[in-house]
Amino acid sequence: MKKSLYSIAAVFFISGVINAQVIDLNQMPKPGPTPTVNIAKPQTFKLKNGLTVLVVEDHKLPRVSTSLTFDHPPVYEGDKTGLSGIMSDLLGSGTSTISKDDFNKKVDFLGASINYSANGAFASSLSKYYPEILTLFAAGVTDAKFSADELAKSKARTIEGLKVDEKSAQTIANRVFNVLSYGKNTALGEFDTEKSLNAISLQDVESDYKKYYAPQDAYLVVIGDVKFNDAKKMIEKAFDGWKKSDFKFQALPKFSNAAKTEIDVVDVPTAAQSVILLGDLHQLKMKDPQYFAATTANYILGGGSLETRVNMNLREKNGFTYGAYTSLDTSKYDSNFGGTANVRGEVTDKAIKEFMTEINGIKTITPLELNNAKAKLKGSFILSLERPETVARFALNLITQDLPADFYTNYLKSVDAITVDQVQKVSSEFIKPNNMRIFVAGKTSQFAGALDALGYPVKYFDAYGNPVAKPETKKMDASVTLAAVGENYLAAIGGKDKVSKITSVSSTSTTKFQGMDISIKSVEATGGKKNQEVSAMGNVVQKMTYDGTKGYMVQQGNKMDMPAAMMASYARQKEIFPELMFVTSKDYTLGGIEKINGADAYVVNGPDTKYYYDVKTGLKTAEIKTAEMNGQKMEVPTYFSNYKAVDGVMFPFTMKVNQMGQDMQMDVASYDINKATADDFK
Amino acid sequence: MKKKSFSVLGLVLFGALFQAQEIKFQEYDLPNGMHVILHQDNKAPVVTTAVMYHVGAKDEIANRTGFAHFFEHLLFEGTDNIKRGEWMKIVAANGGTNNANTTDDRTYFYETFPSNNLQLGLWMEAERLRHPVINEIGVKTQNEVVKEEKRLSYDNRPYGGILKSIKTGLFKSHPYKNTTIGEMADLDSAKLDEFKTFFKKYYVPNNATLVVAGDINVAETKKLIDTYFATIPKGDAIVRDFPKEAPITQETVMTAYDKNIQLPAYLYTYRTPSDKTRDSKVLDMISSYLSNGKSSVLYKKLVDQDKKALSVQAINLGEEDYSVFAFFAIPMGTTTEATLRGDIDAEIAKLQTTLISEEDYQKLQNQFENQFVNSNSNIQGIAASLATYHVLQGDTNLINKEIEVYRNITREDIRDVAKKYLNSNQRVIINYLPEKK
Repeated sequence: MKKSLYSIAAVFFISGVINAQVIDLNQMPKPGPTPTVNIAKPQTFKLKNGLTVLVVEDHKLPRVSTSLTFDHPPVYEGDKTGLSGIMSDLLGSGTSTISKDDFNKKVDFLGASINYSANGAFASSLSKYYPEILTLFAAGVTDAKFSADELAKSKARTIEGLKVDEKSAQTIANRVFNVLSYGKNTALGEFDTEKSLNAISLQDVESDYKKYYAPQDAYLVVIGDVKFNDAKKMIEKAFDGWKKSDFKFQALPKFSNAAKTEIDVVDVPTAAQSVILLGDLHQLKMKDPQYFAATTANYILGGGSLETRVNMNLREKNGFTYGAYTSLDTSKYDSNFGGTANVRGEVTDKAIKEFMTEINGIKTITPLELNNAKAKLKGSFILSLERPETVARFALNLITQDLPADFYTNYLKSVDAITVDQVQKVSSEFIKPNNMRIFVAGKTSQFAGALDALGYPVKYFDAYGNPVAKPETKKMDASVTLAAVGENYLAAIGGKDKVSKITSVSSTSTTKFQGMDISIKSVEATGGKKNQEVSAMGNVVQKMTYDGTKGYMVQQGNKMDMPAAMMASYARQKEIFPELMFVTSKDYTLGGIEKINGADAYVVNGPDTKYYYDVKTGLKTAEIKTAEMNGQKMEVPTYFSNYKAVDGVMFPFTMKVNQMGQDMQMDVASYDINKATADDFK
Repeated sequence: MKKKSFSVLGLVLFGALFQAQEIKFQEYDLPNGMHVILHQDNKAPVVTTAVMYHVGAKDEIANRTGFAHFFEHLLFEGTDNIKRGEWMKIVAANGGTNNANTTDDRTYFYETFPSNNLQLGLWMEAERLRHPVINEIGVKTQNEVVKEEKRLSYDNRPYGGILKSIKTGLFKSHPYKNTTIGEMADLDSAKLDEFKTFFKKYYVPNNATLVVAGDINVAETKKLIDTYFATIPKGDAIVRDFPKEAPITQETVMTAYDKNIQLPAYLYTYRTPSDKTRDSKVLDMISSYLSNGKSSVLYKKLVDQDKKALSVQAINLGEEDYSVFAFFAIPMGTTTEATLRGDIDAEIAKLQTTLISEEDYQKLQNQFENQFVNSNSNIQGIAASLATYHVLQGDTNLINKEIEVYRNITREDIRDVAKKYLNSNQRVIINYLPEKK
């Protein structure tokens, strides 16, 4: 009786809805109410050793993914910093019963994948191979075998990595910014060094593994085509032997912000761009009711896509950078707000100023900004729900971040409920413009003078976060002239007479790029003629030719005309040695003194290139070209050294180039003078 | 004891899990002939609306190549109710994504939205079919866009002319002899009326399959589909009667030139049957066995061990009327065409005379199953699969059953099919060489 009544009501209800809906075919439909989301709820159980398991049955596709996550504070490693990275690098190199090769072969054969990291592990496979993959996966977690041989290899690789990044402004910036924000002797502020890595022994790795790779703070999330009871049985067996660790994790020390906003600077004389990082630490957590308003505020400021305030200002309006962003981290162990942009050296101060203007301005937002942010936050939340990893992340966050049970099911409602007022008020809780660190790693000779005018105290540090004095800027002796710098250089390389008889220079050089041997053939001749061919494995992969009137470029087989601006630039370079034109051309001016690799050098500004001449030897030590890439200006520095005589004229046999943050060393095999023919420029 | 009982359980479990995925769907025709496929999955509030038109490059008339692909572009130009340039903006402003693509056999359009925009997705697809604006401005604009695409993807791309030479070599009378992108001269000389005629013939409900997949209520969705699509008038029935190709019985050699390359490529190409056939699926497996992954036969031998080739591939290009099986190799250093051909022929001969190992066979099965499972991992992928299986294979349920066809392919089938199709007298050799300067 009750049932039939209900169904009649339902029929009425539906027909009522349909009748009310008169659809105009020529009218664009309005979106319906924001959808409710069905977020799969995991079934859970806990092993005796403390491992918490969450299983989300999802039988739509016959596949299963398993992820392991540890929830414990980051650990201070002291004189063995880098230990947990090395330990996790060695995971997956076999167990007490299976060799590394057999392990990998088996995984491949099953068409599956397994990966391990310091904070967890991940496996995915077809559901029919799940029992085998789970067994392999668990063995790698619970029964890892470490060998001295693999340890030595891993240490060597990591140290090699440190060396590669030694001069990278980005690496230096990340390291020193953390040192200053958290303190050098804390888990979040310490960094790997060659010394700390070398100090790591096999016993250290084994003990690190036993202490931290332990079940009591671990979560295993299984998603996919597996029945809860079956998964439970398999997991109980596979992880049965995993031993608890009695290690007590230390709580993180209390961090504090700068008492007053300051600018911290590291001089990186080789930097092609200034890396700006700024930020503060706060108390806001994901579980706090203000979380959604805070996320929105950050989204509008710089956390969204291209149309954020900082990006519209620094990139679109001012062209300082290819991208400027902000971030809001509300995780359990590290809550911070941050901003970042890589900018041209000479606009460093202006970029900081504009960044701070936007940060201060986020106290007011418009309803339109709020609506756009809401639409985008909801859209990306909804589309992300399709991925099983999202469901896993949600399930885990609910527990580890101590979120209200309806945090995700109410996510869209929570976003809808955000008001302009809430967003405006919340920013002061995590954005602290008066207690911020503004950090720059860059070539200070380009901007140090201008920073003082911003009104914040400016402090200088070395590349490892130790305070140093402000780098001094040398004043040039008034007697130095552009002509003299040019003459000195020409005299140093062999004399103006000899140099002016050179009509062409052909050279071949080699370098390594991503492990490949690259050879470069280059020919230059008077009249701006130039040809450059870059070959890899015997094939020309890139070619650029300008014959004095027209030019073309070939890249990966794609041939195109040389852009007009590039041709104009070559056409201006009538002489192979621009120094021959210093006196006659108005394109060159004397710029001052800067340091190049620690030595003073005179700067000469050319049309799109800066030239650097060593004060003592007169030799050219560097050239910095300004190039346009994707509408953004960027600087490409080349450093010259190892000068040797060729037919009585000195040429550099070593050149170091920094291109888009990558250092490459080119070794010149030979120079040939006056050997070029017209064929070289075809 | 405990251990034993577990392994028994393991076996049972194994058996229970050895079943295909099941993607539930329903399908029906509207009175105007439009085929509708609905797939409900309320797990995430995401919906894809997609239409596949059974028109591709093979439907083009002589000297009017490139029409089908051109329409893929033209049908974003706007409709009576969507102004020029607004299409993409509407999609973005409503949190969605969209795209389209064309092959020799069909043209496919789709949008993916949060599910509260289902009605918007349907309206947009109905607009596109009911009254798109086809005028001189749109044709001219898209003509430039397509030309740019051709330059970028074919004319200036190294080895970009390969497909064209394969088609020229293997097809003499069937329209597969032309490329999908077509000849620009054909598009340039086409009159506006010809575009309108093409639209009227092929962009009709009786030649279209609508897929709505994702977070939907089936009853409501059917009503909406009815409202938006049922009143679009039916078109004339489409008759397809393409010329048949005579079998290839003698090996021929042809030469093609490419100005964008420095290293030659050598191709050994065979005309094989429609991808509806079981044999075509066996050829899929053969191509995987030969060149999919670093442990595959040809890669291991020619690239990894002997370093005779920079790249080697065996590809099965399945299409509705015929398929193409092609070997493609770029020599390393001084390796000659004859050497590469010899090595490839030796592997073919092995396939034709001996069975592949049980282990390789099992690995192949695992690869195919993985591929199959992951091709349906999101709503958009499922929508595309449903449409393709219906339009080109004639059986929507292959989305669930096709893997069984592959599972039932035996090692003997692999040997027999290699014997049937991959003989030297059935092929065209293409020397694809750098253009002389």
